[in-house]
Amino acid sequence: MASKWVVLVWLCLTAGCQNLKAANQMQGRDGFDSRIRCAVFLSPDCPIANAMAPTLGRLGEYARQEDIETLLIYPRKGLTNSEVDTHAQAYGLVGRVVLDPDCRWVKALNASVTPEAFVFTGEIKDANVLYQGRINDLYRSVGNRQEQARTHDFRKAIQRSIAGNWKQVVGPPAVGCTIER
Amino acid sequence: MIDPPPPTFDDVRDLLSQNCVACHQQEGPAPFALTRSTDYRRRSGFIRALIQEDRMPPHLVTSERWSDQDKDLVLRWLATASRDEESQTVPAPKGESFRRDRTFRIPEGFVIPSEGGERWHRGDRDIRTFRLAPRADEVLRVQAWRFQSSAPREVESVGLVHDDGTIARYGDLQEPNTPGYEMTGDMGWRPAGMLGVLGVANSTFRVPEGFHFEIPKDHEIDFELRFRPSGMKKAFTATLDAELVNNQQPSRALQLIPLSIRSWRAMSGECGILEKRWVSPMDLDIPLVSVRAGRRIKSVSLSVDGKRIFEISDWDPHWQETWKLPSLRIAQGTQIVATFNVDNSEENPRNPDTPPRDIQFGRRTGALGVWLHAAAVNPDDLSRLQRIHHEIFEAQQADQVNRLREVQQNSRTSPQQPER
Repeated sequence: MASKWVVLVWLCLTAGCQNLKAANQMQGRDGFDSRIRCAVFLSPDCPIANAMAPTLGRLGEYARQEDIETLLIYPRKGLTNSEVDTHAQAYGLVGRVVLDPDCRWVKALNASVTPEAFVFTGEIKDANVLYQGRINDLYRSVGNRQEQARTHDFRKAIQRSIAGNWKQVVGPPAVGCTIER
Repeated sequence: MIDPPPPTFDDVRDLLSQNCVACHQQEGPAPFALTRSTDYRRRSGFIRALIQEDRMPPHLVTSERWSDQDKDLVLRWLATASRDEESQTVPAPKGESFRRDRTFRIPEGFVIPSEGGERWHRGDRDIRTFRLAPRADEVLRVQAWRFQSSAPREVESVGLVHDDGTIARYGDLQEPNTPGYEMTGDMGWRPAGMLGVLGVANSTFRVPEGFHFEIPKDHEIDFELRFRPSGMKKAFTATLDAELVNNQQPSRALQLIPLSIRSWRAMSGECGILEKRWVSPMDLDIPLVSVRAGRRIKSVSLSVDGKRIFEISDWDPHWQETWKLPSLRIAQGTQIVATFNVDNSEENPRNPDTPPRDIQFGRRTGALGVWLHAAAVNPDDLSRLQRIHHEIFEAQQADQVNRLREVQQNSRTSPQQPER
């Protein structure tokens, strides 16, 4: 009888510990570290991506405070580190700049336009995508811009993931400049 | 059957030069340069999609739109061009000649913000009005405008108007620490755009020969700037150059005849028509029209005695600029009708509200308008025409709030093609 109580107490304690663990540091099903990460595909001369830069700067900062890394992925051949660093800095973007000239990240996450946003776990080879879609509704279609975004899909996706809701969500499709593979 | 050989760069060079490079060049109003053949190939997927969707080139004038053959030619070139081909120059189209007789400047110090925000009347675009210096030292007869700024990609349109300084100065005083003020640029019964509206692709605008915009002595020019933040703060400087009509040259001043709807209302999901009718009390030449309309408007048209002479069927506030009407002369007693097709439903992709909401707009000079820039055929009618301008605005203040009426199928369409 006593041993049953010990097991029960141990189960309660470990469950409690699990709940206290930050959701973005939970273990994935396959056992290896699967921290939540964000990715946004960008292009220095895509006006739609650039128009969302202030939002992306704030989201990058928010993610960083939650210990979530944001990848700023530039999938165009011919871009240099210096060019993309300059772009990210000039537009106030927050995150790790990644050059993707061979579209490895594009293919891994199945991105199609800039800016397209992702929340995922895992690595490039086995990314588990929790969110794929638009950042917000600033653009309803190419050339059809609102004065201000009113629906913030990417932010909600990050918040959901931080809260431990790892349900995969495909958001409204991103509107932007086609990524040339 | 043998397929024709794929088009070469020589086959498409002129099309690209005339239709793309005017805007897509360094410091141009469009987002990236398309001045080398490799610029197109690097973005071939994106450009192909835009051409197929008829978004680019963004010509509204049917006569200037690419034919199916033009589109097919460029699409095939994009599909087959090798990424390794040698990069070749796509020349810029020849610029219009322009003689700078006067230059006006905006006060320095305004910075276009990195992103937009809610405005005092929700849903409006980002707007700022500036007083230009210097004042007119004499009566100025303007044949052409040229607008240059440090932020061509952020500027959506500039509506010009003149003022003796009273109203604009009052606006300026409300924000003493920053240049300009955040209000629309109407000056009493003189709406922003009375001296023309310069848009994205017409930063040089020439009034048809024989007509001019007139600025009284000692008046100053004010301009209502509509801008779109681009994600980065931009220090804004701008000049407005004027080419004047030669003193010896006969020319008639254009007077504004506003076909405006002062106030209108639509319920959530409602679609329908708003109209403004006017019967001309004199013979008139109407070489230009300007349009004021927002995002719930699907199309704008102008009819003369039942015949449609001007139409933009896929209205976008981008097209809020001054348009040329080739040789339109109307006789006394002619009825002119401005028609606005309103769509306040979810089906309208430009509707700022999702889901749509009940709306009501009002503006003293008109929340919606097709403005005729007109000149009396008989010079003796000039002062009468000036009075008409005031009388129309004063009379419309008593108008009730307009409600939409049902769309009627009107098959009498043979629009003249406007020109930029």
